[in-house]
Amino acid sequence: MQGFNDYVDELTFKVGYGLTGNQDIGNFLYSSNLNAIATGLGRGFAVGNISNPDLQWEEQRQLNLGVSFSLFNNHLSANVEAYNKISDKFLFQLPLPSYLTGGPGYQGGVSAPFVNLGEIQNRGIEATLEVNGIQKKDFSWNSTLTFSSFENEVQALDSRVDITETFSTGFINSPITRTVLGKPVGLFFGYKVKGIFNDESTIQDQPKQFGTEFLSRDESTTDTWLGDIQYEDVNGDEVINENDRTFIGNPHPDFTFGFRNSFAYKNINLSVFLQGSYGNEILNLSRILTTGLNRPYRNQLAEAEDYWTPDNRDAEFPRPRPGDDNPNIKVSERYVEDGSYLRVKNLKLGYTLPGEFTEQFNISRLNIYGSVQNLATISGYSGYDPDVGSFNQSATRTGVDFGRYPQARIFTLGLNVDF
Amino acid sequence: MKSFKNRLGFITGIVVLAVILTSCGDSFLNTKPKDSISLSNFYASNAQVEASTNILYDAPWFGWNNKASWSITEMQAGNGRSYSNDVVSFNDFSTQGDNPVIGSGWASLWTVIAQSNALINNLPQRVASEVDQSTIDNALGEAHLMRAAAYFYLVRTWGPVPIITNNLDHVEDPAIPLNRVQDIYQFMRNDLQFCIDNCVDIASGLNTGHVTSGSAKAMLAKVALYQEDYDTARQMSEEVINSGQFQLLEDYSALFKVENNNNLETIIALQWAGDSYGVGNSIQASWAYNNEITGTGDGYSVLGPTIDIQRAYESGDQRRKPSIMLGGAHYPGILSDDGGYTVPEDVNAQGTNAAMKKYVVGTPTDQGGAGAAQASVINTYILRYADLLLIHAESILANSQSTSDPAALESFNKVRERAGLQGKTSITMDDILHERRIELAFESDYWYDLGRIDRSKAIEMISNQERGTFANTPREDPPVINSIMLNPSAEDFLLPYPSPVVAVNDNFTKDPVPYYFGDE
Repeated sequence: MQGFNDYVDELTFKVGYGLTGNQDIGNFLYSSNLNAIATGLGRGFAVGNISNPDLQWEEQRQLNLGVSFSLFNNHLSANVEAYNKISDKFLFQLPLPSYLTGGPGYQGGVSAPFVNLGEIQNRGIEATLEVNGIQKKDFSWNSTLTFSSFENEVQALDSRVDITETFSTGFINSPITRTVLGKPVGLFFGYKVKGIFNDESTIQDQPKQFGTEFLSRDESTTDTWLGDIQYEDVNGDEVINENDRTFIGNPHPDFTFGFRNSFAYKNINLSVFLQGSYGNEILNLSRILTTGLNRPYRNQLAEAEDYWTPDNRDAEFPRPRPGDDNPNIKVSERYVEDGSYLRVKNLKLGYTLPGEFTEQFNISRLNIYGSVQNLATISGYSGYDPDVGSFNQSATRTGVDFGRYPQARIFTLGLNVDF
Repeated sequence: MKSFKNRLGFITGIVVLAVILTSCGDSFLNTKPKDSISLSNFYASNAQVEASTNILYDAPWFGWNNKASWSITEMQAGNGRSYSNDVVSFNDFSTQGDNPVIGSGWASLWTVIAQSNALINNLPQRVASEVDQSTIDNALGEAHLMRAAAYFYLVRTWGPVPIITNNLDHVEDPAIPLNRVQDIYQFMRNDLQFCIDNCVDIASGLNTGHVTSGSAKAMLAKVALYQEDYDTARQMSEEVINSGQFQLLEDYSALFKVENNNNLETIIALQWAGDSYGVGNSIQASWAYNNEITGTGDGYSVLGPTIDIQRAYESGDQRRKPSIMLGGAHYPGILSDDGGYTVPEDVNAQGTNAAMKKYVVGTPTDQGGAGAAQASVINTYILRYADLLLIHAESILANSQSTSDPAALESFNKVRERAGLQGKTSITMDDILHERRIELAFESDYWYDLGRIDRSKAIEMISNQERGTFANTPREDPPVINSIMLNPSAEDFLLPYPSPVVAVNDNFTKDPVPYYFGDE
């Protein structure tokens, strides 16, 4: 054991199991409440919600297995934990179809009940690795790497409600995600795309799309023709319609990471923090607006200039067509993008004034620093910011970007004074 | 003493424990909110039950009234046109299930049904014993009529839809099937009959604006007409006519003035509060030619009356000016404080060289101090007496080529003569369709007339409509027209269901099933 102790400073194995409750939803959901709404006949009262008198806690059962160790005189330490978290009876507002709930609450719609919907499993691993690389008089370096990866799977759904999340604004009214047994929560849901119709000689042999004919622009302004998007006949029934929507993307990353390095050389200190995510996809709904080519007078991204014309057949975008509901801009693979990124989240450079100088003013230490947050992001994502999170904090709208306000780049100049 | 103290402590402990144990029952955990009203403390008095139907006349209809009603009915019928991109597809029958306007119109009609169902199912169970039975019956009758009114728009716009009588029945298994059109008609007739049997004959006092059994009879006449059940349509319309409850206003333009809300011609109307978006009539915001007319910053002029409907007005028809604005026309009721509004000579809404007038009622001052941005207080008509008179005439014409029946002519000519036109001595279905189109233009009706007549005849009528635009200025005489003539297909007379609904319920892509009416 003598040799072992020479290298290993600390070694800990951890096992943990916990049961926690979650009731993070509104009050009084077990009863039906009335909303007062003005009417031309005096005050009106609308039933505001469908009650659920059987509503219970959500139970989260979590098993953690971990190991942490420290080696080589604490030069290298690590903490690795694997967890298995079961969210049982998880709380969720049923996405009931509009023929049961009507419209928005302020217009008298009846909001769907919160229910204990089923069971979600989150399995993952989290690791932290710390290196105290160099500790010299004039130079030091240490480094922390965190790594996280998880899998998410719906294991039970105590409901026959199809968990399909809809996005409705003045411009879009479409399903966007779907959550089913045995798959992760909130997979993107829409049409697959074959390309742009480009061949007049074969177009009549293709499956008809959304009840339109294949007719040239001279014959019809509303039917399908060269330059339009061709969608994939997913169910093979020789027509393209609502039944051809399918899973088109996954908002969950393969892993996320953070990497911090701190250096000090004499009086100068520098730290760099990188963070990133790999393997997640983003449903970029704002692109429907910024490249849709469907509204006169609406500004478009410069790249949207590359739209289909008879002289530009190898175009990125379909031919312009009017209407927010024209078939070229349906929620489809065209709006699913790789959301992986690497970001220089923070860079900080400091200088500590010499002690003999500052002690004249009774200051034991004076550090001047400048830092930049969100200095740079490397990503293929075309939107403002790949770090989109969940739209309206809804688990079934994770990775949905509708022009989320981007994170600001923040420059800071500061003084740290110790007396 | 010590042992007594100990015993006292023990007893106290038991009492405390007992209190805790019993308190953990329903009353402890299921407290009622004190700062809001829940269903369990509503319907406590006659006044509360009377007011419980107020909601059915306003906010639930907003999403339908706002854009869906007129883009679906007036644009597809060839009465109105628009370049506005949320509704542009209604110009040419290319609307998709993703269209946001049909999404909100659909949801709105189901909101009406949800609130009607909530009342129908909750009121009898929860009402306080001191509330009069007649008050309960009347409220239930109103809710049945409003449910039928919403279904009437749904079935005419989309065809088969699910019949829902209690929304709570379907929370656990919401993927319900569509029901057949004929069953939906029977369901509406049952609802209307319920209103006839349970509602008061005449609304008065605080109930002014609420529907009555006469309203239900009139609506039943219309529903029966759509089923070509001419006997019922005639019987019901004659009962309404003979009751004397309703009558035509002398002046057609008076129908669309705020001060005449709930006039004698009104049979069923939505009752808007002018407070804010969502509870007011927002049609003026979309239709008014400019914000000078509204005084509230809105007035987007997104609908223009088609060239076709402009041509359809007979010369001397006094309904044209209260319905559409032409250059130079003067409206004393708009900007009334400044001596009225004169339409600019170069008026041009959506390429039509005209603009909308009906439901455009001017500034809050013109509305008697009520109204706000996107919220005017002019009632939206769902049914009015002129409609009923034309239903009556048609029920007598029935399946014949023409009729000179004096009763039919009397009803028909009342409507014509009010418009300053010559009465007719014999009428055909074409006469009635023309009269309905002009009389009820921009009141969400003509599209459904086209939908209920012989399909090939409707297609032919539409294919002869001029839906195009006038060429841009300088204006020439005769004006140059960029013509648009369309040939709809037979399927175009029903809209696609909204995509989010089809995605969660594939019954919407299957055939409708019969509805089980039970043993009622």
